Amino acid sequence: MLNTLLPLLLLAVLALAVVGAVRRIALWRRGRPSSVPVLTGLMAMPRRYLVDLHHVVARDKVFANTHVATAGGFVAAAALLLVVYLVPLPGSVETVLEVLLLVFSATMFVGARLVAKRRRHPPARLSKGPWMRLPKSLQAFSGSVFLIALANLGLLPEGLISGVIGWALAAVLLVALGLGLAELLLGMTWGGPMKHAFAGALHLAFHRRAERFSTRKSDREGKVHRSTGLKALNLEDETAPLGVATPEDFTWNQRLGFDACVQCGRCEAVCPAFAAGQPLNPKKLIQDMVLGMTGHSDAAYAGSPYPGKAVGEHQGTPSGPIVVEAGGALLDADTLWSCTTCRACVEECPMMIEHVDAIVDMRRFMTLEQGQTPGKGSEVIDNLIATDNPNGYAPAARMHWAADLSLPLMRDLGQADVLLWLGDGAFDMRNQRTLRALVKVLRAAEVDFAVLGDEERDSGDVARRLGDEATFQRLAKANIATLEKYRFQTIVTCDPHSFHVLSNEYGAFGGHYRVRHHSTYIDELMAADRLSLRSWKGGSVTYHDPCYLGRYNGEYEAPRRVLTALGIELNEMQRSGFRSRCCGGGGGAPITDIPGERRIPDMRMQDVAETGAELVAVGCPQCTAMLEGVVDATAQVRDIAELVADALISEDAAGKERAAKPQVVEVSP
Amino acid sequence: MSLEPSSVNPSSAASASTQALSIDVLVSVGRHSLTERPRRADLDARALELALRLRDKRGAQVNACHVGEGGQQAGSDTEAALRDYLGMGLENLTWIDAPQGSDALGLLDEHLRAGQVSAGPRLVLCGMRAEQGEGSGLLPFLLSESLGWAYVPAVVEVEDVASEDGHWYTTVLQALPRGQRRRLRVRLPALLGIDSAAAQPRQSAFGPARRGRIEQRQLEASVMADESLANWPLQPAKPRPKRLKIVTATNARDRFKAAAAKAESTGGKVLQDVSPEQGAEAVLALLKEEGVLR
Repeated sequence: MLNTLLPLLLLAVLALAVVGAVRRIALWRRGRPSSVPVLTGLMAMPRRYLVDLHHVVARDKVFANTHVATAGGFVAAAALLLVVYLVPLPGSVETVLEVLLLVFSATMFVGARLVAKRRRHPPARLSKGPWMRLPKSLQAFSGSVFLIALANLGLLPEGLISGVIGWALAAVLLVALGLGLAELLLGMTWGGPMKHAFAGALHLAFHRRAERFSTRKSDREGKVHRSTGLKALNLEDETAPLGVATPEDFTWNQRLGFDACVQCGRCEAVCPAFAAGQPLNPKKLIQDMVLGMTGHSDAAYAGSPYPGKAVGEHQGTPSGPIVVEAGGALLDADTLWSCTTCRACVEECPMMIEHVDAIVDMRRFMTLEQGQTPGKGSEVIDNLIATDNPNGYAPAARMHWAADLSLPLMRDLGQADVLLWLGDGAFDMRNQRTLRALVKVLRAAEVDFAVLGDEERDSGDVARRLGDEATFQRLAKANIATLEKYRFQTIVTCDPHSFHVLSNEYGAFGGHYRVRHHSTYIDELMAADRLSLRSWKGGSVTYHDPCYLGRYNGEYEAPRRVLTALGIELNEMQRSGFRSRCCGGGGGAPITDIPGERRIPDMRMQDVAETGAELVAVGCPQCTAMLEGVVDATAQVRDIAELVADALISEDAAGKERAAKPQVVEVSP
Repeated sequence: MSLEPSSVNPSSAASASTQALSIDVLVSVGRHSLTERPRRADLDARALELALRLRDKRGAQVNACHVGEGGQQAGSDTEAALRDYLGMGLENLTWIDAPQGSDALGLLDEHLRAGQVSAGPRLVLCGMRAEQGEGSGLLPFLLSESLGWAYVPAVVEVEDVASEDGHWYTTVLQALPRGQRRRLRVRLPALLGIDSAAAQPRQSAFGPARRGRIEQRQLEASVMADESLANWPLQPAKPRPKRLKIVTATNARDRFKAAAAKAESTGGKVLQDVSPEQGAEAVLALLKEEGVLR
């Protein structure tokens, strides 16, 4: 009976799965067009899956092994099952395949048992609901395939396969296999937990940031794969859409990406806004985008909600607005504005979903079309438009902090080795101390540098994260035009946000520069032996990785090398490096200021306190401002440039040299 | 208090309650105080904000118009500033071309009279003074005089527009010093000058600003040279030196009190329940005493 019914069952399931796939693909295609190389993408997919995706999954070793056993076992077992039962084969080959089937289904069964064990007391980040039945389906499939293979190999005792018992067993196995196939094959294309496998594979193939993935060539060249700059909006074409208003305004491959979500909640676990009790949960956000495609309510969502927002009160429509002012649509606006764009979710996502892109896309519509940037957002944007800096200071006051330093101006020199990009920290009294320290270090190393002075404008970072692409592009083009006038080799800046924008986002407008964060540049100066430094005498030190330096640009090592070279033994926080927790200062979050239960910088200073460090070294004006704003902090906040400047011992020698040269001796503030 | 203007428009408004409120907002090109970049003028934007709120609340029809030179140039500073107003949610805006050195008064007078197509209620809103040019704040006074409408300065809120006995009235809040407010009932049509204490203008969004239409209008018949402007010498404003207040306080509390202290008014007297003649005499006496009248 088995051998007649099984092929029929398999064929029926396959046919239905194909119908489901066609329907789901048609659903994705209702998004906006996006051109991706289809064949190249499909060819690259296995590598993206086995190398890049596995690299992320493998951060959780135990679960990675579970997943390899389960998924690997399933793919192999399913393929063998189809071959054995749908293709006529010579007896000997079939026996070999049956044995392999036995092995893989057994492997999968072990994996499925481990999945079941994890699901017994699932961590809060995991979604429940249909996901709780997945281990049962996995076991039903692998167990029944194992027994069927055993039976076909004639390894089951005679008593079990003959007579009434045999019939009963065959019926039980068919039902179990049917249930397993329904979940694992039909579920892939008709919805359910296994949807992630089908959508995920295609998402990897048609990812809108193909440059994120490694290639064999890039491995040889030792390049870091990063694609973190936001994609530019086309503002030249007046009919081109400005951001995303409805689920159908996302590109089709973004929609495909949403469907790839496995609801593992790794994003939720690292999201600073979620931890602070602000109404954002990256996992729920992606699930809401999935629901938006079909217009379902979020009542069936079985994971953690947005903090402070009940599940079941939101529903969108496939072509209706995502956010409406009165609330109740797919999302509330404060969910979008809670994001600090720290990219922790993207870094952690095993399915390579681009949460930040989606959030900024929706913010763009709110700002550019609706004029609804919350909090101080519209004021900051107005200031950027009128004064080229977010706080509305007189542009002519940009150099006041350096009135006594007589900094060389690009306007006078025309060229220099290094262009020191000041950033808007030049207006901030705390950051001015960092800048003065940096100037001191550059002078000690006798670097040939110059500044743009009043010609510099805001890099446009804040405007862009607030969704004001128009202002960003205006500032970017103006800055590029200014930079074009001068000759320099490297731009050095102490602001990772400017660093990121200058090096990763100006390229789309024709500005290609060699940009260094000051920590990287100081590291290079130290490596070239151009700085002589006293060794560190203070207490315990920890280092806070700025998101826009670390996760956005992959620079984790240089700041640590600099601190180590100072003789500091770093006392690392639990969340550091690529898992560093945001200070809460990115993405315009301090400007839109969405209330939560806690403040993100308070949590970060708590992380610092747990290390027992007396000082936290930072490398970003935003982080400095956010962390220094924490009340009753146990640690001091110092920028790396300040630590290096304090340790300089070339003061006397340099002083003599300077006396010989007609140069201004600077005075410490 | 009720202002009763001599009405230009004989209200034939028996069935008036169904008629839509028509609001004209006069907008000018502003100038940022630090960078002098052209942008929407703050007070005019507040006027437009009030008008847009009335549009949302009671379906008023909002027309914005600007009088200025260079109406033909696209991509000019003026156009950029006018687009800031469109970005607040207007679909179109009328730009009346005024050759350089001409007076806006006659053009506005003609434009507003021509716009009077129905007998419905009419309001004209504008900021109390422009940010460039003469900026004397006199235009609404002169315009209301030439139209024969009432002018209420320093308005912060339009509370209601309703008809009574065949006439339309609006209830507005007027700003007085020290945050005080006065509620006025004004017969329409009327001009309202919007105060800096009115609601903040909404954000101007890029999309609507780019899509909005600017309609050029030529009113050559009403072009008149602005004689007073021609006669005035214009020079850049210089910041006047300010006398520093020397506070000899020894503790923070006293310094704070000194910094936060308001200017106390001294002298003066409050006249209550007096006849208009007595009031006028008192004002005249004060003006003579202060040397304003001689």
